[in-house]
Amino acid sequence: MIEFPPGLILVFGAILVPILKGYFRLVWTLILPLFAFLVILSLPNGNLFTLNVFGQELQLMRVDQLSRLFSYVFLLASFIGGVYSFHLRESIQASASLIYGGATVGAVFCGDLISLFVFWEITAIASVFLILARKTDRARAAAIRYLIIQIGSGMFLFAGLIIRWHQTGSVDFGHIGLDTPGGLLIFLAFGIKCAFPLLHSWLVDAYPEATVTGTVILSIFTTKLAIYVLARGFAGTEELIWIGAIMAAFPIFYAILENDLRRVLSYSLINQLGFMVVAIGVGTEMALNGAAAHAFTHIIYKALLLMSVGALMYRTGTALGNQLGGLFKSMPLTAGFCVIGAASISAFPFFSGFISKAIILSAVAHEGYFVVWLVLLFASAGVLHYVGIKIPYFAFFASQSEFKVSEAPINMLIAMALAAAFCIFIGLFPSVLYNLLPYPINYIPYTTSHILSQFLLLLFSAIAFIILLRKGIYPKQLNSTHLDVDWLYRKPGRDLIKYIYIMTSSFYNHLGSNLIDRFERFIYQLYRHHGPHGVLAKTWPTGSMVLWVAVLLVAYLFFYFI
Amino acid sequence: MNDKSGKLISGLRGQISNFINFQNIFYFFCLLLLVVDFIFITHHETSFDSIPFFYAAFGFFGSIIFVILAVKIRKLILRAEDFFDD
Repeated sequence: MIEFPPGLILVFGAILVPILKGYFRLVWTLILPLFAFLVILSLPNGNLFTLNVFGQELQLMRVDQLSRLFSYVFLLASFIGGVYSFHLRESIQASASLIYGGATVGAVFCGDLISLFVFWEITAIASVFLILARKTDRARAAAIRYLIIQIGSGMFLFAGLIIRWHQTGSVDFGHIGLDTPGGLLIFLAFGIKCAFPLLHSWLVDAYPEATVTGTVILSIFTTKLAIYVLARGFAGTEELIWIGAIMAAFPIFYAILENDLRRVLSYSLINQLGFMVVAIGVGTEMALNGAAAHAFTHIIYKALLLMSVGALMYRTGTALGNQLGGLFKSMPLTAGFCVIGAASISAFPFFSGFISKAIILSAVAHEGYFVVWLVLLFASAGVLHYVGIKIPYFAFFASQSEFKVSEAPINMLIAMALAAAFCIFIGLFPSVLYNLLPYPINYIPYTTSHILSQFLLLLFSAIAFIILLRKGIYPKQLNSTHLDVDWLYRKPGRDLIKYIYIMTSSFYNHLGSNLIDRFERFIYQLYRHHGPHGVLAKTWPTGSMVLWVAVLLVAYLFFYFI
Repeated sequence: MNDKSGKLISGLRGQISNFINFQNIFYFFCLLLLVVDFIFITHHETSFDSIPFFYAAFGFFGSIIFVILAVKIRKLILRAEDFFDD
């Protein structure tokens, strides 16, 4: 047993990546998550590693079922991501991915808010390199916006933890709740990373601008870390149920309209997070099990979908739905993996999404939140439309595109095959995942009623898709921008900043010139009196000095006697 | 007579191959599920999912509603591709 924070294995291991080349680098990037996984397996539950800093005990290894489950899936995704990005010659993305993954695993094991804050910020900084690595102007601008918002989230977390520290004298990271100002700020920090409605625009802005492999890696960590910390700190917070319901519903409209398939998947990511947030809000053991299970399955099938679209983009140079299509013949394996990912996210029975989403829906229904249950059902039908059908259809099966391409590189195929195998395996043997869940679970997803209801929901939703497409009602895929909340800071917000800059710069200029004038006059006076020709700088003859001493003496005597 | 029956069979074959395509099998499967659901299965997840054809109707009409809503919303939020690039 090694009592050393497992996340740091990846973070420190990443230092060696730039000096390794080819297969050595691949092996190294695969060994690190594997080794960290074995370390975690060998650990008993409990607080295993503490540091004394600022008079506070920092707990860097709080091991329990919840932290174990999330760390397993993060490391698994890291491993798959390592295989997927093997073809890259530059090392910056491999290093950034490892540090990003390591910091996320580190954050998962934190038992206090200070160390969580540190890892929280490392994830923000490491991840931005995956966007910058695309090296386009759009990517650079998106990366800066992303970084500002991510660091902003860290600042809220820091402010919240300071207030909490001041009020309670403790920085322990247990249940936090919304009843204190510190708790509210921490909630906001988590909410930004979890892409709460109105705080979500960084995700759909930045993720589609990252590199082919970058988007896959980005989709894995940040948001699911947010789900983990929400489950730790805010389980049973009723507000989350409604926030989650909105998250599950509103991305449907954007995802149907959006042309960039990676942006479609980014909206779908928010929709899937909505299911988990609702479950955390419900907060029962069954619901939290559902949230954790859905995070686990979602990481894998979302990575699979992004990998398949990424492979298309790698070969064709675009991820725009209206430019792709008909690539089924040239990339049959990628198409097959994409369909498996699409079936999983749509929660078709015998695929992984089914066995995790079912727990959430049952938990929500069991607690009597019928409106939310209906919203989630509505969202489930939506997922089938905009991911389940739209992604494979526009990417591989729609009318022939002009691209003549070959199948994806072998490393990408292996990574996709691994993820696809997990999607099917978990779908067929749900008990493997259920045994890892934080609370004991006695849930059978495969009842006849449940399978049939899900098939009916999905298949009749598919019929609606076919009819709408044939009638020409289904919105066409257009090269366009669909306004979202980021419009606020990219247009009027930016104009406001420009206006403030112009106003303040003229004010400062005015103030500045005035000050410089005064300073120049002061220097001139100083020079006049103390300069080489100034009165005070003159060399006085000894006689006049004696005279002045005598005058002063007389004045002194005079004042003494009166 | 032989000629006629031969034509009839080949005509029927043509009809069958026209009829048995992927889409019709799909529709038939959906219909079959609907019948099975109606006759044999009861749902008890919530108070109203035991309404006959609830899931099928919800999937079908729900999809139509959100696609139509999305088309309406597009009128408000659609901008040029380079809207933010300046």
